Amino acid sequence: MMQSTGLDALTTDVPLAALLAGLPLAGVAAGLAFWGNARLLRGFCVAVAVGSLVAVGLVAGRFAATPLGLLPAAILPVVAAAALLGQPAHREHRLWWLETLVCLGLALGGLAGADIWQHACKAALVLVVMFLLMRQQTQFEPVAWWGMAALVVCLAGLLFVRSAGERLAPWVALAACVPLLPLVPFHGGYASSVARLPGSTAGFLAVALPLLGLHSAATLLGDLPAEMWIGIGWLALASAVWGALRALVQADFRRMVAFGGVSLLSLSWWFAASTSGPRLPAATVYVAGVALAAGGLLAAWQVVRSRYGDAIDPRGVGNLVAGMPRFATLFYVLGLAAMGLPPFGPLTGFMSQAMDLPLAAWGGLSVVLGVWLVPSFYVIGMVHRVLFGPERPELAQTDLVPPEVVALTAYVFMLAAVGIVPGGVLARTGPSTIATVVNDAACFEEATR
Amino acid sequence: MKPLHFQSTKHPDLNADVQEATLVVSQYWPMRSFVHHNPLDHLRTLPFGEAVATSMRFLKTRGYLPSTTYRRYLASGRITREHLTAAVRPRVRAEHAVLAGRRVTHAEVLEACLTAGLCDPRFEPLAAHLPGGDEDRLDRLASRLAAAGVGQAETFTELATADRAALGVTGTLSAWCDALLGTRLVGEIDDQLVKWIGMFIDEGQAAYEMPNRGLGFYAAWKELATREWTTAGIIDARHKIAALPDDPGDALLEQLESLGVVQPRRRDYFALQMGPLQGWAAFLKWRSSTPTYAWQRANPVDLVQYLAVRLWYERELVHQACRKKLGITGRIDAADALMRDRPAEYGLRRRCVAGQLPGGFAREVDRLAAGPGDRWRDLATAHEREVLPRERDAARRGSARRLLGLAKAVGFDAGQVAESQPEELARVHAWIGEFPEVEHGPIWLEAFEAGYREPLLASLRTRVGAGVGDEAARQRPDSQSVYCIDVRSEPFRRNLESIGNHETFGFAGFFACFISYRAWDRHYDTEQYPVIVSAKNRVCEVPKSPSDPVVAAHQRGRALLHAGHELLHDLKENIVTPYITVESLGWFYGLPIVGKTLMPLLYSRFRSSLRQWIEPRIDTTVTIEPPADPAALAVLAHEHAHDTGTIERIGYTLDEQVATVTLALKMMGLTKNFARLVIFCGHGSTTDNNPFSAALDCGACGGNEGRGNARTLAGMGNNLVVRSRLREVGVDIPDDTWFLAAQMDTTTDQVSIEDVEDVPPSHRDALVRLRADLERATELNAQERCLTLPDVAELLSAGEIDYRRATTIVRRRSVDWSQVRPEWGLAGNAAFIIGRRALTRGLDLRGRTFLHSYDYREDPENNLLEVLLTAPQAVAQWINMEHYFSAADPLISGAGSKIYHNVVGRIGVMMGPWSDLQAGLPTQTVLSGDMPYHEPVRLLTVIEAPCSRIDALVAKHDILRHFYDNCWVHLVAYNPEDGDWHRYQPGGGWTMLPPGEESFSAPMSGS
Repeated sequence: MMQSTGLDALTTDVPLAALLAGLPLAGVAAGLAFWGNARLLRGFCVAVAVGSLVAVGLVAGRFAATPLGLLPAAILPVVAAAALLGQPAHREHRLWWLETLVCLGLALGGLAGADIWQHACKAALVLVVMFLLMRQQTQFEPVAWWGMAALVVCLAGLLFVRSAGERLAPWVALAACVPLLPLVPFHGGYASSVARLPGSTAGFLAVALPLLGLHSAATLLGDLPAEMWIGIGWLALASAVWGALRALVQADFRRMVAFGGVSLLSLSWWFAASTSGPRLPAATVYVAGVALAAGGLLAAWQVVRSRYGDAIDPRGVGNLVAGMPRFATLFYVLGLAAMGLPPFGPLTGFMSQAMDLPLAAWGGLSVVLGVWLVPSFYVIGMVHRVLFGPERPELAQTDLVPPEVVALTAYVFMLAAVGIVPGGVLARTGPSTIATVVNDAACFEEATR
Repeated sequence: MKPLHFQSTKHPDLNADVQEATLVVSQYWPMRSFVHHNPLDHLRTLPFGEAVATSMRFLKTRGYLPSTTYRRYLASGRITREHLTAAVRPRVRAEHAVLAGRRVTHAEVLEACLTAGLCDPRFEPLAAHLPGGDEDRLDRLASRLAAAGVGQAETFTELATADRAALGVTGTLSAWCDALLGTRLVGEIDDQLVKWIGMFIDEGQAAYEMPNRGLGFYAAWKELATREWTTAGIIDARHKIAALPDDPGDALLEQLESLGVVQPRRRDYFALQMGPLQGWAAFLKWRSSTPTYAWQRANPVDLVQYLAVRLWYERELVHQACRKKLGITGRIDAADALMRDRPAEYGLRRRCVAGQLPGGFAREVDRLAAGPGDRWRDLATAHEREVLPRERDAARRGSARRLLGLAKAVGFDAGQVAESQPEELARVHAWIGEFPEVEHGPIWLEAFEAGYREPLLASLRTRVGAGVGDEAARQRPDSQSVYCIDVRSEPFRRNLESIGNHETFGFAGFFACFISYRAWDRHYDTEQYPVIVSAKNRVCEVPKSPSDPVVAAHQRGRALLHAGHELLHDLKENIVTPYITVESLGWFYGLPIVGKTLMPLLYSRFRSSLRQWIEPRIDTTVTIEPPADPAALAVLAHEHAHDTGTIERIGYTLDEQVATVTLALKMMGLTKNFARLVIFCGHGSTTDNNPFSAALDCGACGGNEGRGNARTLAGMGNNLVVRSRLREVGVDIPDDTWFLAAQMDTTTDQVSIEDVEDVPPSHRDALVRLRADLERATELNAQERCLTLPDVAELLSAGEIDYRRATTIVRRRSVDWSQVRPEWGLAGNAAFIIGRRALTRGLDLRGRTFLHSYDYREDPENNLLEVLLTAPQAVAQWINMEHYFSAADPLISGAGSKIYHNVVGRIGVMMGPWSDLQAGLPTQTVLSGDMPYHEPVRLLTVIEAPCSRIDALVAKHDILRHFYDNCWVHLVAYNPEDGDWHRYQPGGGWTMLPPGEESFSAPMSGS
């Protein structure tokens, strides 16, 4: 298991994490000044997200030495901006935008921060999610106790990962990861966040939580015993099948996305178990791809909710293709990405990991392939229902407005970019100058052992 | 209506009910002889508006364009405000309200409803966040409406009460289950019926035919369905089917009893069962009414059998679903009791399936429906507490939005409207509510029709004002040509007349020859006359010189091609050989694919040349009289080897020839001043890969080419004995007049003259000149046509192609296998003008009018007009209505897009692999983009004849009373004796139309 390493100390530090986390958080404080004008506030929040992207770009070289590289840190601000743009500038959404910025700041801090900083940021993010979930209960949806419990487990793992004894350490480290990169029975935190939280926040967390989970796994699970990986492998298979079955029977769109995410993201645990640890950067591509597909579908569904109310049931809309051709095109493309068609990230990541499998793992591959094909039923089924199902002529259809076009297009581009980006760009050892730093760091690590 | 022949004759009441129920569907002929028909023809005893409403009730069809489309016409000026105001006037009350301190009249509100779409039935969503503007104003106005008591939301009890009244009246039990349980029973039943009917009616397309078809549909189904592995998921289906009575009538009565359908609902219930597969039902109806049809004789099917099978599926599936999900039997009385006793559960389930519950409630309904327990009342209470108030708020916001729309439409300050008195707001709101959008269609239609009628009648009046003159006194024309009344003839006639001294006539394209026609090389006869009449004579196309060696070469080549075709077909369809066939011969298809795709015109020429090489062309003639030449008889005997006893019927007697020519010439008004060359020009079309090709051929010839009829009439006219007999009846044809037959290709505008080798040498020069003029007319027509084709018109206007290429373009389209719109066909038809050509000569009628030549002075007995009104007009009305409903409802009454069509059973097309039979016209025929190319308006008949004569015919014929009194056809008469124009009033009587009042308002209800 990788504890506080010299590598981290060299390549990530407090000022970097503070900068990346602080910018969105400062944006939240500044955004209160625009509270009275929803349109301005949304514009400001988008600007803050874009500013975070610029900040990430400015320190891009520093990410080359982090476990997942630059990709997650570059994705998250874009996802935040897209999630914000995907919501109409309505006064009821103001708080959600600020919450999204808070989550963005903490997520970037979690990716960029050094040892204590990353755990602290992740723990803070988990706390925020728990708070939001507590606030989000309704008559038919009381507090999601399974989800809360999973997040408490995660929180405990993050808090005690540095201080746990050698015997408990692997379990604690695992506890810090599995609720974020979901694995049954600790999937509740992720599933509840995706299925219940309001628009832009859910869309953002659908991407951020798995990436943070993978980041934790890459950071903390390096020395996990082989027996534990075997158990994780079996659990991952069960989790993938269970998630797929749950997704299949969902009538609710967001729940379908949540359980579909649980199913597909569990596969990343199975791949990691097969190789005794996540194979980077293939795992990053896969998790980013699946997470982006989930986020994109949520953003697309947000378009429907904006028009017909947050509580709209998928059975309440149909044949949107007739009056919303732009939406139909982008929604369909996102659906194709989610079911794993080229050239999008999920397929690329899946194939990269599958090609890397040891021979012993091929027994489970049949189950994995089965799970991999299931989204072809439930995603396309849902997309067809919404786009081509029986029309409700009494519902007006308004096609995408420009900010929504930008938001959905951003998801499509990100999914495509993740899918076709050259491996060298994603490799932990990046361009020559960074490679030098990394090589130096490796030498330093070797020397200190 | 022809009587239908049902197998179940032992239940006369049942048969009568089925016969009555089938009134809601029309008949559908096999599309190889596409017959344009009025989809609501059997409802023409009802006023047009009522027939449309009846069709909407049973078949769920739309009878008018969407209001949004009409509003686009209003914006473009095609519908004028004046016409709209006139059309809405009968509904206006002399009332007003005061909004924002200003008077707003009832008329203004109704007009605003139409022009601004205020009655749009769309819901105000419960929590939409998309910015809509004016939010504060909307909230203020909504709160004032609340003070006035506006804002209703339907409770579950109200919903259940309304649905109880509708069950069995506007919806079947299977549809009720689908709406309540989210099942797909109607779809499942349709799938089963499409499967069985599709197999049963196959006319040679399937490689393996359904066994036992000779037993009839019901018996064949019963025999085979008991062998199915699974039947639509019905438990123990094999035993249940085996236990059914052998008689379809008994079975049908059993299903009715089981479903609880009792008199007097039975007939309506049958009619409702026609709706989901109305295309198939229409085809079966035609089969039932045509017992002599060979396939019907071999494989009898009727609608009693169809209903017996359909209702068996419904009974089993409904019982199964109701028992499993509701714990009740699948009967109408049980369903009624559920709605009465469990309104909360009913309402929640129903609204959940309809997608009208918020997500949380929907999930709770799913949970309650899936598990035990009875918390429906609690959930309903919660719904009443939480959702109904929100729905009322949303309804008020919707009303407020309408009032703001009204303010904008009538020019009020929207801000001040919100300050109006609540009771005034409520009154205006009530006016809007009393005028729902479903009632807008008839008003829009009247305004729409007026926009066409007014300029047409004004131009005709102008033409009359300029002086029609006595045509007989005019100089002898260079040629006279007679074209079909088809609307596509009008531009060609106009262009030809503009070139030289050519006189043209319009006449139904079968040229009064009611013939069964056997074209050379065909193995079957075609019925070359309107489908509403029957054949009198049989005419065959035979080689002109049977003993010519070329004929033998031709027959050898044909036999070779036929054998090759049969061999290839067998290789493709055999269970073993397709794989090896594709492997070995597949490459051979590369040439046609490349040729047809990249160089269609060149490939077409190459193919024709190749065919000509293998099968040399021969000169033919038609057997107007039974052939006496032994060689010709031998050829006929060979060609008709399978038609025992038919050769004797071939040809006309002399009396029949005289009668036919007399009738034709008198009806078209061609009895004097004959030119040296007179052409009878039939028409056909050339298209590739087009199942609807027959729809482009001559409707008057039963959806076939008119060449045979034209040759027959020309041949009779050139018969000197016939001419001499004609003189006895006052038709003196000069000796130097020669009748020619020709055929116009309506896709390429080319006219090919037949039998030119028979033209006397003295007429050759005239023929050369005529041909040159016809070619010039073809070019002009091609240019005109190109401007109407959207893809070509754009290129023309962009200057990318010049007008000279127009002819090439239209020819290329005719052989392009990927072209979904080779021509517009009869789209655009709107009027039928019966009168002398002088009425319309020189007018650009834009290819929208059927033109039938008629001179009332030649018809003192009124016989000819009687024929015209009861036959050609009826055909024109069918064509008009087919286009009308296909444009108004392209997906149900029309055939949808050609892109998805698949030919089934060689009798029609389905959408994709599995659907209702698409009985109407494809969208490519009636729509241009998302707007209609064919403007759906009812036929306007204009007759040049005294009103008294028309009255006599209307009184004599039911069909004419139905047309005019029920407003299926608008009738205008120009009385040449007093020079006035009159409009027929539904119910009888005439109103004079003074100049400038051509846009008369036509009441929808009729008499």
